[in-house]
Amino acid sequence: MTLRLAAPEGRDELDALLAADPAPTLIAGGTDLLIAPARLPAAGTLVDLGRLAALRAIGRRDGALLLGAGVTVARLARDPLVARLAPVLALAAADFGSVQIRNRATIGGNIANAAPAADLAPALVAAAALALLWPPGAPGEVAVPVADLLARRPVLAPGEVIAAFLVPASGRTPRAAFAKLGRRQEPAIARLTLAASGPPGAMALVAGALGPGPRRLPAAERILNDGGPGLAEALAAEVLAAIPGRASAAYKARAVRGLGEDLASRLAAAGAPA
Amino acid sequence: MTAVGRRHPMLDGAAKVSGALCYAADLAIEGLVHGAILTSPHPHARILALDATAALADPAVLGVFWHATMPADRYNSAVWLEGQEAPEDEAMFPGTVRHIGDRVAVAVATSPEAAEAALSRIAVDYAPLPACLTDGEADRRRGAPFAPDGTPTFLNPLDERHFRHGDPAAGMAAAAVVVETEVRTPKTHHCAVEPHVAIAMPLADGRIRVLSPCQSVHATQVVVARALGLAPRDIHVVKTPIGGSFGGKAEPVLEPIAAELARRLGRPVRIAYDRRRVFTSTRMRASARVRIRSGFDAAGRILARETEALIDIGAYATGGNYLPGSMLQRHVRLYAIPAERYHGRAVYTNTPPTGAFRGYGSPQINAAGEIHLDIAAARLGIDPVALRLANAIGPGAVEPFTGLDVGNARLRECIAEGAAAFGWAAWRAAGGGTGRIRTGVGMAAAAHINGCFPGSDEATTMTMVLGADGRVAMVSALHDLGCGSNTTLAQIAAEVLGVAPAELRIVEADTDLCGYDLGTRASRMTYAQGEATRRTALALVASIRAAAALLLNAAPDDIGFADGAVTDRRGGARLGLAALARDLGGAGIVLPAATVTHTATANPSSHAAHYAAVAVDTATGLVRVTDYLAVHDIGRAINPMLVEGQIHGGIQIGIGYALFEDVANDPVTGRMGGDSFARYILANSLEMPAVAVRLIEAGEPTGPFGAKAVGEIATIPVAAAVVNAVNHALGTALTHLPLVPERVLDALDGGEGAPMVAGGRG
Repeated sequence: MTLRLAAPEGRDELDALLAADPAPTLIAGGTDLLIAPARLPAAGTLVDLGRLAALRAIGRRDGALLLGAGVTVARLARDPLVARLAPVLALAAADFGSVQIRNRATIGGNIANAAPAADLAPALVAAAALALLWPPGAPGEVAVPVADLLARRPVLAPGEVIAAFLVPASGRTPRAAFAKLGRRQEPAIARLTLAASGPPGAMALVAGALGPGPRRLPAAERILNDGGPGLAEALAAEVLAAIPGRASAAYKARAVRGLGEDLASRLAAAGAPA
Repeated sequence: MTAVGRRHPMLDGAAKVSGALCYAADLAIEGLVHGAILTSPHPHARILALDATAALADPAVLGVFWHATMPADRYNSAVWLEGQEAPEDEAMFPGTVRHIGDRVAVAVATSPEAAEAALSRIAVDYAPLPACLTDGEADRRRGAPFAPDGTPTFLNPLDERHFRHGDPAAGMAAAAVVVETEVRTPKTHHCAVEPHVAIAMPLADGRIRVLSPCQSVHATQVVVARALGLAPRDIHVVKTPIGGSFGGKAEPVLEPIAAELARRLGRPVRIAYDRRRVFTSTRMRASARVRIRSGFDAAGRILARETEALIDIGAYATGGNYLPGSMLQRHVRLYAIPAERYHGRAVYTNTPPTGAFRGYGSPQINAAGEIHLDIAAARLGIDPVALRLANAIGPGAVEPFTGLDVGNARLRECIAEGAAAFGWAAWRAAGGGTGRIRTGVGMAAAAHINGCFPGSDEATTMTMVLGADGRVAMVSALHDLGCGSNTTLAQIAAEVLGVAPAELRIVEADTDLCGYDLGTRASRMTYAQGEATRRTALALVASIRAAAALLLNAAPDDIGFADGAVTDRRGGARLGLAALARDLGGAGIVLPAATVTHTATANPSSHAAHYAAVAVDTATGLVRVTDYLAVHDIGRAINPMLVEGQIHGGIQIGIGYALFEDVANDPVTGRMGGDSFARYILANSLEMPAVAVRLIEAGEPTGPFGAKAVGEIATIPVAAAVVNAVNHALGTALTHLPLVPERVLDALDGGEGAPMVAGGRG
């Protein structure tokens, strides 16, 4: 029994590998797979996506922000174009894992792994990002909203690859804030995250680690946009509604008030004149 | 002083950081085969049948062994001497598993991967049994823990200890204020970087050699022999470099199995645990529930104290029968209390077994006592520092349990100098607040032991020889656990011999080479083995002078020895050790050597006072330790850098104990919540505050160059200092460790540990 490693440098080479039956296991930064050896296949082929140049690009497409799925979280946190067009992603990336994990982990890996606590998931959903998938055995790409992708099980069909993310962008830098609650500073598995992103008055508010996938919190979102009172209460009610009966519900409903306060104060600070 | 008191780097530090040092798992051994352990998914179940047919179909698999095919000899993994009485309730593979993670079978294969893969092809038929998963239920399962024929019944208590001193009832009656608290401490894990590993191989002379990162080769020899039904002389144990232990490798876990497989298969066998099995299937710190009731006079003097400790030791006895006594021993050497009643009992549950972990009972009883004292201080309206100073023991105090003199105990200096250096009074006045983030300061004092005296086995033997190469070899059952004790001992020898510490050639523990020794445990390394080192070095100096006298045709009194050289006082020759060794050889004179057996005859206290500042987020319940001062009564620091390293590491473990760490065995299913580093939260570098260390070096007359221990006490007062700071910040009476955010918020919302009201909770 041997596990073979392949590191394709182009899509043709990748497609040839993906055509195998059963489809090979894909690996990007390895921060999830390599620490859980039980999830690694004992035999077959492991396809390292790290040498695909197309997956490492950060750029623009038709005005939108194009992020290669292989972009590391550390790069996402410090890239000036990301900070300008999708600051919520830069903020979530800065709170992600730890220095070592940020240096290895990729955006695509965080979504493909689809952990309920994935830090980038609520941020990408708040930013209305689309995932660009390379379908198995076919050319071209398929665009799927990240929110929809994360609702699929499995998230990726055999042989399917996340190639990039497309984040809609307007001329103005959106307002954005991100708040994360863990058991310690870092690295910490998120117990709750809040991501807000959008133009003033029309921000999306999305929670992570509250159920299987990112969850929009419409009542709190309305208050956040209107600037009215009652944000803490709305957040608490939406948390309780999201995970009724869960042992952690009471704590999360209590703590989300503080997290909401953090989010609002960060938005206020970001919106203040320089 | 040329070597003692110097900040000498660890002698093996460069080899460690460069990767040159080989740990047990790194050793390349010809013909090595690998064992993997199948563990129980049930907290309590009888094993009805096991079918390994599918596993054995792989030609790489050499065998699958379980209770029906392995020795059934019951043993106790915590013994250290042949013939020692101990509760023997453990077997290599039990017929009835007693915790999730208990050992069911071992698969041996030509590669670790094949052995691991074989486990999934072993079919086990279990008959689940009712499981006892909480200390409260365990305490109700009363009965003799062993049947008359020696069969364990696992009824409780396994052991208990009653102690009474003075007249507690009279003390309580005279008290102006009586305060009662219950503190609960979690089960926590050592989290050493190196997972457990053991290697065993058959020797040509018929014995079995065991290579083990252990804390005592002699204890390992005895336990392995007992488990195999052999005599200790049939087992040869060699200590390998350790990548951290903290008590976690004090007891053999894999060694007996590796030894039996090596004997059976006639090949070298290695068994290594992965991280999950280290969590579920080795040892950890026992949890404790400690109720303390103290009576105080109006000035804060403790008139009487009553302590009731319930200790959950998990599935097997190991050394758990000692915990009630060891907790008592440390409990009564901190404050001068005229009347004391103590009842401690250790109970079995169907959770992973416990054992040694940095302090052996001290962290639990100290947290209980010191959190209690701060809650009492609030009730009394007395500053916590003043309350402790009013009750602290002093030099020459006699500890009432063992009747031993605690030596040059400088507890009061630790408390008082710490308060001044930390700026306690100003911090204390400024704490609290009404905003979302509340700040507070807390402190705790501690007392700990130096070695096992008056235990009967507190003796160590060392040999030093001047080699023909001019270097001095020191041979003893030395077990550096990674914290640099060999460097400390080399500094002691170097100080006497006048050479550089790196000149010493240290031979670590090997049962074929070394006289009996208890091993590295009970904070005895610097104090007991350090003194053995000093005395052996002095004896070697005498031997050197005698040899030099022969060489130089002088009377021994004519020969001086200083700075690593002999001098002829009659005027003339000065010979360094290398030149002396060469000339002695040339003259046909036997090279100097000395062997000394040192038996400790005292057990002084090491003391400490720790001061912590915290910031608590009242919205999320998260706590950060923001500033820290540790003051230690160290006697004398042989190597201040290593002492500081021990203290920093002790604080890291202690902050985890206070705030994060808990293996969290589920009280209904028995499943361990924290069996990986993703779920078992440690205080990592970001959670570490700035740490200041102050050392009180007043000298302990019975210690080498005045030195006392620091290894265990470094972590003992940390949890209470942090918890007390949180209670100061919030006005709460939190006593249930760790202070996870849920518990903090619950207290703020009026639940357990809620703010104290006058005349309210005790």
